[in-house]
Amino acid sequence: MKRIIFTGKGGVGKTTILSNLARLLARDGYRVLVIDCDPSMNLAMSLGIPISEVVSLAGDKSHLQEKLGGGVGEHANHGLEDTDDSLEEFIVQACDGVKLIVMGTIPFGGAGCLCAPISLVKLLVNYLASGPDENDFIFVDSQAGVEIFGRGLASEFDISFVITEPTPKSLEVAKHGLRLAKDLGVKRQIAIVNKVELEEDLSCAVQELNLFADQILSVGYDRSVIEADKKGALLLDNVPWTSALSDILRIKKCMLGDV
Amino acid sequence: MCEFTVYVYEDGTKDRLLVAKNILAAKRKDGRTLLMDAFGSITPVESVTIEEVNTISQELILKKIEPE
Repeated sequence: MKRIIFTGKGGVGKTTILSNLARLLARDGYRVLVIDCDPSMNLAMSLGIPISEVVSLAGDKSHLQEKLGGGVGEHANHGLEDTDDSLEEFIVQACDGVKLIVMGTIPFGGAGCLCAPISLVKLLVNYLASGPDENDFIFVDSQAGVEIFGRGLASEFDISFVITEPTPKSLEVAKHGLRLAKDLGVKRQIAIVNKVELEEDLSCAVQELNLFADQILSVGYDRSVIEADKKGALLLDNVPWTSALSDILRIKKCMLGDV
Repeated sequence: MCEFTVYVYEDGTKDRLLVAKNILAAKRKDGRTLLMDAFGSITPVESVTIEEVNTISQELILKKIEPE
């Protein structure tokens, strides 16, 4: 089982690339579990699931704690034997057989940080990685920016996909992310330059990222992505011939070649 | 991050022993200190007191005490 994290500055296209890549892999017969760790919680919609149908880990924290061992002092030395059953309640079946778990969001102003749910996701990924081989890939969609690396969630993951636009600010975030992923012992660093319109923009981005990434791939600017997003439609179902998807297919091939 | 690596200091020494990782909550109960992670798994520790809670270093330090 391969663990893969997707990071990058806000709005660069992490969720779009992840959701399409996950579906393409699932169509090839791979078992793919995706975990939405972004409090914006857009991954479910990108996989065709209304957010109202999702039970998030953070949203149902008290239930989870009850299931998994109760509050401190209520149950000593709880084991993990019930974890698989509890987990089933949080797994949503998405398009093409992709399985989805949503971490959740901040329920109200002043509710506090997301440390506990992220800690839960971290344990969950480690648990799934050490248990029976039920997934070929676990994808983690992170919140925007590099903070997720500080939390150690991606420690010793197989691949870090850092998505960036070919703009100075976005590239700075990407370089930082690639450095931090390396610190965490992530085995392979792949930068994806998204929304590329001009060849020279890609060249500049490659120059910037060359020292930090093991591989640099690109996805061209594609108006269909924006149009599909506006309609709330899924790219793969509505415009499967579009150029962005051809680029994502290329990413899939590179990823499988290296995995 | 608000998640602790827990160490215990042996009384009178500067050596510390790793007790648990990824701990979110701690509570004293019936003479024991109970440490809980996000799965709800509990690590009980006998005869210690909570010495320091530090979200900067993300460490929770316990200190050995005489058994109650």
